[in-house]
Amino acid sequence: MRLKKEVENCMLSLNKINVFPLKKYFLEILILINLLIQFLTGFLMLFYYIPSMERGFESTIFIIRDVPLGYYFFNIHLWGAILILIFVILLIFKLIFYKLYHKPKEILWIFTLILFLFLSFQYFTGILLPMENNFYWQVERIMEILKEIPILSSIYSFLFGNFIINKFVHIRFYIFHSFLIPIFILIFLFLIFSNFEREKISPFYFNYLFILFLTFLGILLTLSILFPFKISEIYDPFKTPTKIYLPFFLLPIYFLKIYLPKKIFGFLFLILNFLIFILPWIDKRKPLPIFKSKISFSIFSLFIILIFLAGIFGFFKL
Amino acid sequence: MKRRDFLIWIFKATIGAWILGFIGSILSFIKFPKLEKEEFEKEIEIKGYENLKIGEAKFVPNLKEPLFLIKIEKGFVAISAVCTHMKCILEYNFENKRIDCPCHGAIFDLNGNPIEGPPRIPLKRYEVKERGRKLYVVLE
Repeated sequence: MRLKKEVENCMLSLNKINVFPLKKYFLEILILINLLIQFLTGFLMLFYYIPSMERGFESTIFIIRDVPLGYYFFNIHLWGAILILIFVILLIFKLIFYKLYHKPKEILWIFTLILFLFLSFQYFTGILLPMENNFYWQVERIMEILKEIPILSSIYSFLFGNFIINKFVHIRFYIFHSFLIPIFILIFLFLIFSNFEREKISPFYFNYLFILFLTFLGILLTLSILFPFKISEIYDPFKTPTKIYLPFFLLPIYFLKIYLPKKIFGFLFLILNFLIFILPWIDKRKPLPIFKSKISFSIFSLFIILIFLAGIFGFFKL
Repeated sequence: MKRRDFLIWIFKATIGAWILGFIGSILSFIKFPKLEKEEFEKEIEIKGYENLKIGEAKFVPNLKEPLFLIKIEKGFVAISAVCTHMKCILEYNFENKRIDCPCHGAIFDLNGNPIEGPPRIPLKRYEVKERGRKLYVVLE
């Protein structure tokens, strides 16, 4: 009897909680779930990973082959990294599409962009850690792009030196990937979520959340079983693989880098980024959704089509 | 200014300076140390070059600048083994006497000039010094 009363009390107190509505903030909650999985798998892999250039590859192989479920954790971590970037890009498009960056919420826009920046940096530092040849050369290629961008390159060389990978850089990548950036990501996620509206809990809220979590985990598992990442040979700074794949969000930038002269590329990149950051202060018209005005909708769709085309051309030029 | 205000101002300034110093010391610890002098010498000694025949090349795995040491009739030539287009590591083609890039199919001749493919800038050439029986390549 007493237990029943306590359970009832608990349910009553649950009814008083205000939660984020699932339909309105679907993408954001998906990002949250994805990050939860990332934190869990990453934390578990820390138990076995040895942060050194010589033994990193060995310990990664050990995680994949010998540790129970290590194969799944490794591949889920990598696939989750790609999916989370896709979700954050979709979130940015959503903010533009519904013009959610308008006046009291400019800060939300900036926090989301900074979250994307941190997540892409997380990708960049993460792929070095297995010390696998293809990933190693991906990092080298991303560094080639980073070198040309004025302010970013000086920040990079303050933290990681002279665009050469050695043991000091490796241990720094490890520290940034597994401790520093996750803390920053948590802070920015908290700041983003504190901007959202809440509503009273529906009785099935946590059921829906659980179903969403399971579905997403299922998708990640399927991806990691059907398309696992190849960890084949140890890194070799003197042997380039025939094709170096870049992460999808860098393909448009890579396209720009190929076809523009060096200095123009860096400044253009900085200016474009700055314009995107101050978008809420540029666009001061009525906060209507973008599809209600034909001009802004056509500009938006043209912009997206251009980015996609640049990405596709960049892919074929890899 | 009253004496009390002045004291408060001094107190705030001291705390501010202390915080700045704290942050500065952390940043100076984090800042990447200069390692180039210790890791990369200005001259590298090359071993095992005696058996090279004319037209053959030896790959010198140097982290700062991988090199090809090519034997020609008059002596040796040292050419950078990093493609000027996208920094891929090049391959020496003994049969056709040229240097190939595996990434985008660029071709360089033995002087380092681009013949085919996307790169426009020629490969760097380095000075080779012979002292007694030892051979050195001078990096800048």
